[in-house]
Amino acid sequence: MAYNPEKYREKRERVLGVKKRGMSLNMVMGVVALVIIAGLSVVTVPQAVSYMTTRHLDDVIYRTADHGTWPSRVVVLLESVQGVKSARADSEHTRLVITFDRRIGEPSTFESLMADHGLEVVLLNRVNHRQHQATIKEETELEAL
Amino acid sequence: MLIDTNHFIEIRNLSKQYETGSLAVQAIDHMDFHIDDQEFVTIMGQSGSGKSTLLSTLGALNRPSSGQVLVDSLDVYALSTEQRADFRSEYIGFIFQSFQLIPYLTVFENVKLPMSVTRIKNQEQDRMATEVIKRVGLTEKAFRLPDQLSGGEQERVAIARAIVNKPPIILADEPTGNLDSSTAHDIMALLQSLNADGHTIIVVTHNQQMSAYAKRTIHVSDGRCV
Repeated sequence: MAYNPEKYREKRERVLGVKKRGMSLNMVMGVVALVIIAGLSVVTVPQAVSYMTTRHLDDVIYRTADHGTWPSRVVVLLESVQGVKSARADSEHTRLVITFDRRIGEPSTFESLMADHGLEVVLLNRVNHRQHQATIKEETELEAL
Repeated sequence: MLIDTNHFIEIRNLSKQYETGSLAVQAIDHMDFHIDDQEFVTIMGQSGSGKSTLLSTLGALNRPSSGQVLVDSLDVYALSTEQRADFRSEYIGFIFQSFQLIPYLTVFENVKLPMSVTRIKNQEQDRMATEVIKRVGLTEKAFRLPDQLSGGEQERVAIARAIVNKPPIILADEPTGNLDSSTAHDIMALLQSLNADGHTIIVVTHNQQMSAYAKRTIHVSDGRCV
């Protein structure tokens, strides 16, 4: 019978490795590596993103000299100052936490604005924002116990 | 690894030289021939003419000193060792003169053996083994051990084992060498019917009577086609 190269094409492809039989060791190793990388990414990527976006931030914590509450219009004004990411009073409105980019903003700017509105304030603390967040988290966990 | 050819099997300028001590033996000496798909060919020659060396070279078992063995456009000896093992599994069924059955395995288990390195499921292996055992007429003796069979029956087991993976090529080295004349003719008739089923059969023999079953005979003498 005349030779027809198509007749045994599948056999030829299996011999040459064109038609794969199951998964090769390389492919299995590749899949395992991908799973490990994906798993690590789920854990590390959000932390890395969070670090990149918050690494220049500081928190300053103020209270009013008379232990009074914070006027909301001043809080709104402070939020509009360049470099300020947020300004929020705590749950009892006795302390104000201003989160700002230390490359742009300065506590002295906030203090002069507050003085312009007749507010006498006391700086309680200045702390790295990430460190502050971690402390708050620890305190919340301790309170829950 | 893929070579243009017009023939299913093509031997190009094939030579094989053995070193035995200080002697160099030219077992195959610049052979050229071809075998077409579904041919039944006997390779005839006297003892020491190089016909068994030629058969093992055709079966990807014996690397030639020079030349090419092309099967289905594949340059067999340009393949990697792993590819050549796959080639043997896909294309070749071997039948040996001494049967080479495993003595402690039953007929059924011996026939299943070549499938143990494939990914065929066990149930399908059982079905295929049963089918080829029936094909060679040994259904009643499927669970006997080789030494409980006659020489002709053992040869049939060897044939069943050779065809169970459905290889397109069957290579038989003196398949009737250990059989009486009547059984030998039965075996050749069986090979003839396998050829009719579509297998390409290549039989090495020194028996002129056996070559009558083939469509063509290649005569080998001193490592050359004559």
